[in-house]
Amino acid sequence: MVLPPGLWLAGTLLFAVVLEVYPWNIFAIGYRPQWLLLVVVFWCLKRPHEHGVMTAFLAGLLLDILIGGLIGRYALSFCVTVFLLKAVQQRLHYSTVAHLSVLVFLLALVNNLVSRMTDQWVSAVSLDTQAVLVSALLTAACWPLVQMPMQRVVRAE
Amino acid sequence: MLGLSLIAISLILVGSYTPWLQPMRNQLAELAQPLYWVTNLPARLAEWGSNTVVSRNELEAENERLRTELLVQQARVQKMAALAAENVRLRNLLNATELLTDSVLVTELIGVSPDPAQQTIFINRGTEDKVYLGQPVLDADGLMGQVIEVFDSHSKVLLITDSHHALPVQLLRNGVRSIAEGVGDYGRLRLRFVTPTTDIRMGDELVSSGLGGRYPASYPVGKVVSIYELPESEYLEVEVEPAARLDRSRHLLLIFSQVDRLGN
Repeated sequence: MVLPPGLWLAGTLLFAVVLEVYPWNIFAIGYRPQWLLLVVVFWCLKRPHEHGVMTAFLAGLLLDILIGGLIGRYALSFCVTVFLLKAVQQRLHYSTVAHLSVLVFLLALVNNLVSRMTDQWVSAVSLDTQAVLVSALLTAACWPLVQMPMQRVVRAE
Repeated sequence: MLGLSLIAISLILVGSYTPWLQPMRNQLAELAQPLYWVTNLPARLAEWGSNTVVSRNELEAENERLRTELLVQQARVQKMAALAAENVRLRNLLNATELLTDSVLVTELIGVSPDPAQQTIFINRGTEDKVYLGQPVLDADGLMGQVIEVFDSHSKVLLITDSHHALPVQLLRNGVRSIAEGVGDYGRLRLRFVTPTTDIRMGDELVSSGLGGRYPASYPVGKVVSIYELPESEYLEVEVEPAARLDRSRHLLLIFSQVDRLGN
């Protein structure tokens, strides 16, 4: 489909945000995959010159606003995560789905740790390490689901 | 990156230690409302589907079941009425104040906050329905929480299991008072400051005590599921399982308590 690239970006971000706030079972909240992070990472890898820390910051801020909790938490964690991504991007020789999944796992772990530790720092919520780990694993498992269809769409553009 | 991180950190600090961001947040929360409406669509469609696509037999069976349930409940209500009348007479004898009755408003769950640090849900009633801050919310089985933010047509409810929430309770069996605190886990509450000599057993039921003036008295809160002694603490560690089905209930009740109205 030929659509202006900005529209694809906005559309995918919006879809990811909807998945983020989708009311799953209450018990699963800490364990959910980080959809928005996946989409941001995809765009940063796809268009390294256009998207970077700034995109991540804005996406994180959007998520903060929509969730309505502590403002700046995800802005900070997305910022740090994508900064790390940018740092290793130059050395990324392999970019098969499996390799990227491993990278996404590490990034999701960082993102989760930074945001959860911010919570802990500000409001004394205990850090659920199991949830942090499971959520990162699920995020990595969902990477192919995000990369494959989006790859096709962007290539077709 | 450094600059943006600093902005984010300062936003966090300003947001958590000062109320300056509050008015902006309220407006932004209104903007987020359509999104929650969208995420609620699948659940609503499923409900609509199960309401429209049912066989006649199923409907008849359900009707039968509801009739029996209604009969049982009516019998209970009759007994309740007699008990309430007796209670009023006894209270009159004691020169105590009359029992206040509560009116309720049915509301629907429209969203669950995805924030792991805060256990909140969204319901589809707001200032338009005269919902007020601190209003108690319950489901068919027990207390769920209280309203902490009110918008035009929806509001945010803090659940009793949130780690910032505490609720005055008493044991149904003997009236011992305590405070039930949330610990940030949807499946349990903790009782504070229970001394080892307190008469408390496994399976004891807890109801709200009405102290503190926020929750009306005598609504079920939960059941004691474990009691153990910690060597380093002089109090008992008591865990309570909430009576309300926090993860399942879609239809909730807002209580308009007359105590609250008098208080405000």
